[in-house]
Amino acid sequence: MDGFGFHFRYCISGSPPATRGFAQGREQGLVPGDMVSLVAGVPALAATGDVSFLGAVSERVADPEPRVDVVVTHDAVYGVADRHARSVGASLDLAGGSGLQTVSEPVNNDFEVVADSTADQETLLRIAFGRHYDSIVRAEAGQAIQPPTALTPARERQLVLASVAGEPRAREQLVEAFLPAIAGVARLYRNVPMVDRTELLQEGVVGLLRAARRFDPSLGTPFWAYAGWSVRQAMQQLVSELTRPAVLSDRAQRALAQVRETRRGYLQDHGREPTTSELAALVALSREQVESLLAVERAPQPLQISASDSNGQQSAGDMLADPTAEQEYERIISRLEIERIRDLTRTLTAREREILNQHYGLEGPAKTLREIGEELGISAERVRQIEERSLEKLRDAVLGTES
Amino acid sequence: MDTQLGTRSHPGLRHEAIVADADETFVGHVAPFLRAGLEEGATLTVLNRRHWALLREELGADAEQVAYTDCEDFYTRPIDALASYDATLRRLTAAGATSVRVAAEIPLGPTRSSWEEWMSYEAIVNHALASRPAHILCVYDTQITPDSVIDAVWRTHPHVVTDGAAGPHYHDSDDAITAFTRSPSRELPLRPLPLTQDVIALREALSAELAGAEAPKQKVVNMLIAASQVFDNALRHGGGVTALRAGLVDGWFVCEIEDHGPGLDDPLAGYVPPAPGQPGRQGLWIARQLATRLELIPGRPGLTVRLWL
Repeated sequence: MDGFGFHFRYCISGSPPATRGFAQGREQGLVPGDMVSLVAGVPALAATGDVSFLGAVSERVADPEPRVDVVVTHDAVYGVADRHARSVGASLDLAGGSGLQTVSEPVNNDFEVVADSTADQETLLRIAFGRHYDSIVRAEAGQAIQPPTALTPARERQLVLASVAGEPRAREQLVEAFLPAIAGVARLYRNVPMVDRTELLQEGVVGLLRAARRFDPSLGTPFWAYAGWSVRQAMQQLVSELTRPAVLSDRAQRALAQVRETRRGYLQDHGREPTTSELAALVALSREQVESLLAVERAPQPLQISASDSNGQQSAGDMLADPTAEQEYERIISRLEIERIRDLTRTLTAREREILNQHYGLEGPAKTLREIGEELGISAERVRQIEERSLEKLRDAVLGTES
Repeated sequence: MDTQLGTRSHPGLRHEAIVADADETFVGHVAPFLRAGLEEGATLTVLNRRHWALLREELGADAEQVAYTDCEDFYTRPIDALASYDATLRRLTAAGATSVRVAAEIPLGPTRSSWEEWMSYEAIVNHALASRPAHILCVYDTQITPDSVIDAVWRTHPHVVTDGAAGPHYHDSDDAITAFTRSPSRELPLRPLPLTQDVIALREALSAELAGAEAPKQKVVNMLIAASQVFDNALRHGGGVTALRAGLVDGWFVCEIEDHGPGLDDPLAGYVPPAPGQPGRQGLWIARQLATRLELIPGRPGLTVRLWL
């Protein structure tokens, strides 16, 4: 991989904001060395349209004892092997603002660093370019790279502008055209526990439409080059919210055991759960440390994949800030036969849903058929019949034979 | 087995594999395969992106007519893949296609158990889709496929093409099918639920358990429907329900329904897509779709169906 014309000491890949953050960091002396630019310098990368930004730092390092070994961003971290991605992602606290994260040694003994400056070129490139690595190698070898959609640049611009102008059909087409690309981004997270694929896609659609609103076609950038980052950022945010670090060192495990034990003791003595601050004081750890340890304990619960907040109040649906995105999501996703979406209850009428919800306590405490009947002014037997019919509808939906 | 008889006058499944040790072998076989399909009817590709890119180059303008789905999206779980095939073939047939060619590639997971699961799937396909007018060419890349899987490919595909030589090495056997579907005998620490023969009482008890386990609403609905199907089977074919159990195991919600019946001797139970409008054979198919995993455990002394959510 000498085709890039410079030698990597540090690698950075990611979003335009990340780049800005990187440049700022350099001004503040955080990152020694010169930043060499990038997409422009590597025509094959610019041609992919699937790489939001790639950057690198030259080998010329001024600082004799550099503090930074590897610079990575969301995109890069999640481009490497999942085991690494999870541990490093956690150690970097990727939810952060600028998108730029730095790793200095020692980061945190609980996690490992994916690579350091002694890693060979290929390793660093793989980290920096993540899943794009192969396509870049192919591009260097003169092989064609697939564009993310079949849209022509002109058509793409037209769709973006029309959808921002509020034309539903254009929005639909835009989302549909980029859905495979969004699904490609979602795949980066396929082994992350507790993250539902459909929720990821949903977030990706939100990110795409957000990008459309901010996109400036006059700059001549391919839409995906801009939107890809936004899509990833939206998904990353969801992932950060839903997952917690799961790779623990022995030391952390001992700390976790101590926290558990202390909590149990407190519960016995006081008859209530201790607050996090109380726990932190008792085990002599910081509040943040206790929080992250408790988060780890919550992690391996396959059932708890819904994105509820600490009060259990917020569903994944509530997290959608953009109602048009939600609408688009429903419409597009429902057309994807292969997605096997399991939201069967959409096929029910409001009353049928209401009866199921009330009878089985899906929203609030469960009620008997008689109680529901009294509320709706019909007999318990009638409620039972409606329930049976709605379950039959749901069964038919599974069989794919609904009208 | 009649799967080798998939001629055009008798439409039926033709299930082949190509074991390719180089990109040229792959392209050299799959491209002509799809071109022939374009003349006959519909064509689909379910491949990884790299293979699809290679193929597109080779197909040139013809690629426009070939439908592509990323294999990671298609092959999520065996039962989902069967359902996707079922729905897709039904849709294409309804649209007038008399034959459908599919070049397919299963993205094998990282674990041995996932390899076994997909190889059982390959064995099941021969039966589950036997009567469909489909010609499926499964692509296996020797560079990324474990040897044990390659061995299983020969057992599960009536035809295997390798280096230009084709020949039957197919051993249809229940072993291949049951490799994964065979149930583990491990007893799980579940709580007994009040025994009932009334499906509504079962659902009420189960929904209370699920609420306790903080299962998301959509998953509750799925479990209630899946359990109702299994419960209904137990009443109709199993001589009545003898025990109900539920609880959390390793964080998964598990429900067991036990009946008097001797169990099912068909390892394909619930894997064959039921024909539309044909009642009676749908229960297990539906339950398998909705549950994360469904296990059949005979001889306790009756049949126990274990549903994982």
